[in-house]
Amino acid sequence: MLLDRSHRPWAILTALLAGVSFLLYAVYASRAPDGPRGGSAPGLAFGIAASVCIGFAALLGARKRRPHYRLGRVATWLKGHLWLGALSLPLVLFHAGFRFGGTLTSVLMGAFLAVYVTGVMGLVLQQFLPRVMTQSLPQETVFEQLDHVREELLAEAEHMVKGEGGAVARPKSAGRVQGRVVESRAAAAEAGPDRNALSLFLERQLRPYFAKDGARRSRLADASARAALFEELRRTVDPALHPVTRDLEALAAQRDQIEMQRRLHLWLHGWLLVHVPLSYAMCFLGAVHALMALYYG
Amino acid sequence: MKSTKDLAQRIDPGYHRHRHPLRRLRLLFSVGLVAASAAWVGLSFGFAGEGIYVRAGMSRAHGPIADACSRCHVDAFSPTVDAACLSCHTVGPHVPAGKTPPDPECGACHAEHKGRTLLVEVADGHCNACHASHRTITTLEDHAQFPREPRDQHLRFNHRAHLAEDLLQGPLQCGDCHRPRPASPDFAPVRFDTHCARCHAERLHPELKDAVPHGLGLPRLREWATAALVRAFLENPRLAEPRSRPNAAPGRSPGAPPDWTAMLLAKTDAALDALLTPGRGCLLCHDRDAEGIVPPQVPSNWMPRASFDHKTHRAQACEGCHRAETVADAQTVDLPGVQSCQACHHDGGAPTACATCHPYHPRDAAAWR
Repeated sequence: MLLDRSHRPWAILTALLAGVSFLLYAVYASRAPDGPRGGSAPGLAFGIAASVCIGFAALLGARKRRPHYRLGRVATWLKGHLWLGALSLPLVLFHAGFRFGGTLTSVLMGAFLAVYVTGVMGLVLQQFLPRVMTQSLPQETVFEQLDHVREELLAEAEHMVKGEGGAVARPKSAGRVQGRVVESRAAAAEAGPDRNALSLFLERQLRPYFAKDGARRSRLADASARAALFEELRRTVDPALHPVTRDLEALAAQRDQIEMQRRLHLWLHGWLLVHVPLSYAMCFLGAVHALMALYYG
Repeated sequence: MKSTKDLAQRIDPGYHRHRHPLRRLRLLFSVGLVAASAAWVGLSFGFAGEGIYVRAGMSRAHGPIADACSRCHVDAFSPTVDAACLSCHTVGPHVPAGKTPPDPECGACHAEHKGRTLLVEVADGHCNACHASHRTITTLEDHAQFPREPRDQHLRFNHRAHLAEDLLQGPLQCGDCHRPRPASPDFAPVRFDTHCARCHAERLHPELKDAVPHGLGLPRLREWATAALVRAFLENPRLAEPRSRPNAAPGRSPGAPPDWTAMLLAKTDAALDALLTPGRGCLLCHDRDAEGIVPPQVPSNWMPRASFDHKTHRAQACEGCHRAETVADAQTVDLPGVQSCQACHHDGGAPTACATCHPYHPRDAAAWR
């Protein structure tokens, strides 16, 4: 959960600052004969305050890249990113007088609003999705490892089908103990029931399903269809192999979790693909806007 | 049952060396978007000039110089200066010299880059910033009544009589006397020779053809009258003869010759007395004091603190505001009340801003160079 009780002081401070800013703006706007303008002294003050908030929020990425710098906790920087970023919206609107202005400022305002909206979206996703992932993905793994794990699962399935055990199911013989390290050793394959049906199932169903994009097309991606397929498999194989089919079914379920984790991860972090690049563009255009505003006095 | 070690073996210990695919995309998008923004700014500047930086369109009057930013933005990183405005416009000061606060900069009231607005339309707030006592006037309905105290203009003019239907020369219209003055919001002054002489020309003698010139003081009028009589007598000696000559009976020699000088002075005095008889001649309209005829004091601007342009109100009939047909004396000021203005100047109607009637810049100096 991103927002918790520790954010309360930040929230109160942000609300206070926003309230004070609103009061100042209301007084200023009511007394400005030509209406509020970004170039007036109060308008400029709002613009500078908004720039400071946005600048601080933008520094979060740099702070994360230098975690060893003694510049305060990253968690504190994240809170500042969230709440000063939230405060920047009223400040920007007060600076602009609730107008978009010319072409450059309109584009800048559009970029700012897009950054703001994607930021709020990201906050909502980061607030709720981790809980969903914890509940529905008991075997969650590192995102960068998903393809590696998928290949490992397929390898395990191949071992099971061949009756060679596997990293998970293979029985451990007594290993050589050196300190705390236990070195595992694969058991030798034993002669047993006919595994042709298993091999056929592996080639026709499991291998395509464990392929990189196989989850989209395979019937195994659907839980009920998967259960039906394995039930059918168990009717065709020797009862002695039923434990193997259950292990294979468990591996298929894990493959399903990998796909689900991939989707949730994309939701959890995909918004940054819009938020971060737009933030850079917004900072660039904001700098151009400030420079040209100063240039033309 | 899988052990922790079993599960851990699925993980590539060197996974952290691989860059997160989303981060790679993010970097790519960031660089691309910033580059695109820079290209857009650069290309826009190259093809359309400073247009993208302009907050809004220029005012109507400055439309022709919309692309010439440097005409007003003379120095980089400096605000526009009044000198840039005054290079085209000539305006006088609003605040008298030596008084504070001094005149604000042009741009403080005439805000440019607000679209196709009229720069001369200045919001009331600019006036109220200094004229704090007027802050209670939020609409024209709050405006005080115009001062209309009777004032002696030393000119007796009866508007009602001159607008009467049975006027000897026919009824007059307002425009017969009140003519617009070119390049001025005021009317041209009413002149005796132009507007009055047709009916009110005075002669020293019924048989003299020269009318008494208007505007001479008494001493010069006397000189003129003497010269006019001499000229008339020379042209027509009969006029100089006394009406009765006691020694001129037929068959008898005439008496002593007449004293022509005395007679001339007497005739001059008589003529001037006739001209200056109360209710007649000059005093039909003018006042007289010990020094002679009192010059009329008719103000050219009846609203010294405001400006009213009759030309912009030409669509309105005179009778819509003025009640001249009811005014029989010159002391009564036939100035319309503020209600007359409020009939048209209200929200949704004609403008109501302070500057509509109270020009900031002195009128005579506000000329387009």
